[in-house]
Amino acid sequence: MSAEIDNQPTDSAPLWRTSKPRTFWSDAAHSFSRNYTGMLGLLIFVLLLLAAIFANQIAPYDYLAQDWNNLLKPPNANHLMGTDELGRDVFSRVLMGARTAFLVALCISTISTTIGLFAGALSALLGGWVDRVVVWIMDALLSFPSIWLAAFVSVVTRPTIDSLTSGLYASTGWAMFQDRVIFSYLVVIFAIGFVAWPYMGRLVRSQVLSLREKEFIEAARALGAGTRWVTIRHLIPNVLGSVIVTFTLSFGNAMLYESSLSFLGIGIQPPGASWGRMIFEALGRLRAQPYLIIMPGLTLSLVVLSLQFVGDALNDALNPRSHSR
Amino acid sequence: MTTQPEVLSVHNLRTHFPGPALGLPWQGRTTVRAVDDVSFSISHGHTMGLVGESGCGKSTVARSILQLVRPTSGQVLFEGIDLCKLKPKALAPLRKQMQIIFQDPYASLDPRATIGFTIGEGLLIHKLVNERDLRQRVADLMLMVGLNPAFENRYPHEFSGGQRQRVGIARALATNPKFIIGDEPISALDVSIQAQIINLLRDLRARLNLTMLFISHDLRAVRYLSDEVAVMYLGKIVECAPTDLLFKQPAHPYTQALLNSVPKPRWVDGRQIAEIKGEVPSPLNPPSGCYFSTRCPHVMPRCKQEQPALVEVQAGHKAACFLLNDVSHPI
Repeated sequence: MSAEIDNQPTDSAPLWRTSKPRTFWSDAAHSFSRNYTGMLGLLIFVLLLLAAIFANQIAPYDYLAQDWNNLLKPPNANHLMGTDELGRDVFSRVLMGARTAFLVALCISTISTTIGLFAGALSALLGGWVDRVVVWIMDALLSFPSIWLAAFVSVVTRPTIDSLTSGLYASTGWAMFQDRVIFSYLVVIFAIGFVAWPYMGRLVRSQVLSLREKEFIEAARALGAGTRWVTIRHLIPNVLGSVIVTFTLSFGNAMLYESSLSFLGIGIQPPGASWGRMIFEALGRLRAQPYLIIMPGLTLSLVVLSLQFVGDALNDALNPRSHSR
Repeated sequence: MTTQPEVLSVHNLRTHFPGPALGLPWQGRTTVRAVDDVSFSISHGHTMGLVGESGCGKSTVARSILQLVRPTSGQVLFEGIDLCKLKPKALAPLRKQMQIIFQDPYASLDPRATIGFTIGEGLLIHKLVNERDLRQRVADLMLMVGLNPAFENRYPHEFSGGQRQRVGIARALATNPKFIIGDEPISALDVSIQAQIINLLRDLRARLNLTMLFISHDLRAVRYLSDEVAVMYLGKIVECAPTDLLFKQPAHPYTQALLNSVPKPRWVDGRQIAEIKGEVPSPLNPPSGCYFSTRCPHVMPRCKQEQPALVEVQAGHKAACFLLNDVSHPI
């Protein structure tokens, strides 16, 4: 760039502006709203989320009700996704499976993100032996294949969680602590949350470590900014982008893991509805009644794909470098 | 030069960092003496140039003055207040009076903040203006440093290095500081842009009546901007003099070698000066005696044992070298 241009505006922007001052967050929202794939992903995700929340209202049948006159019927007007070998309505079961999937995935990604955020940030900020211990734990957990570790944890912790919930039932008398389905939710949430948090922890730790050394943090301190200002105005906007993206993707991953564990028979227990479990039960009917596998499988793929779209769009939106103007 | 009140005076400033650990845990750690016994002062409206090779502690002096790095010992008097003794809370309101322009215009701007926010950040932190006046003030600052105010909503990556450095200058000037440190503000820029930024700094200095500490390893820039120059070597000031005097009659062998390293050293009236050899010793393990003794062409046995003190060679011209006490050794 030549010397003359440097002093001048690089394009023909008006010398006086009419627009309001923008912030990082308003720019990010604007950029996201113009990303059509991201908006499509968000739309699909929100529709499926609403379907999961209002599953009871939408479902045409009780998801456990067996209709012995309608066994293994392919999709038709009465049964949108057909019926399974016990005559249960697959559409209703997929809806209830969505409820399980969203609930469990939300719990898992919230818990693992929270733990990862705190562990990573504390590890980076405190340093010393805290850092060494946290990094050691995270590396140890990450060194196992996640699905094996999650399966192992779910099997090992089952009796502990069982005695915990029966203890809670004895002291509170609340029916939810006696419910076997809720119990299997807890086992799955604990097992997957246990293997998922180090991913977030490592990300946050490395981000905070590299940001702490950046000159713009020092520049803010030279201006007189305190720790709170630096954290809110500089650290969070710079870290939160990747945290939100990772959270979005971890939500999809948590769904996949829940289905995998249920598929293996160590996740959600019957009578709870789970897509993984539905696929497992229909495995022998792959040729005769493929819709039994396709329906829950397709829904699962659709959610995970929509989250990928949303994650990608967020990644772009939260990085000013990729904004198109 | 009339005698003006001193805006900044630094006395016996030392900033040491813990270095790498020694072999065994109980042996403790080594110490990096980044800044070792530095004293100087800058009068109101004057500019002090600070020169030296990379790694000699120039930037640490800047950060120690602003208390971005807490000095190990010594005094930093800003208008008579010792900054080293102040707690962070008490220091914060003073920060609007002293600002710094950083070397790297890429790393020193938050990539996720609009430049309008970056420039106005100091005003927001110190609550100096209300919401409405903020935009006006930011626009004024942008015009002052030669940026179009229409770009307030843009992000740093949309600008060239020179434009970013202008943002850095505007940010530093936002709170109307009395004292500005330029920590190698031009070394990361193209040569053509360097001249622009230097001239901008010179204009702004005159317009805003700024006192400056200009740190650079570019001797031409220092000569152009400074009233006085201090030469640093391995954490110590080895020579300090008014600019003309230092460039015409450098007293210390290191200064002479430094000046000689600039192409066409015409100003040293034809005298042959030995060129600088070897590497800067590690501040982890500085040589005994004079720190420059390992590379000095005039080294004497005494240089290996004692450290020369900074002595006045002539009025206002100080240097730390044993040769200067001894008339029989003309340099």
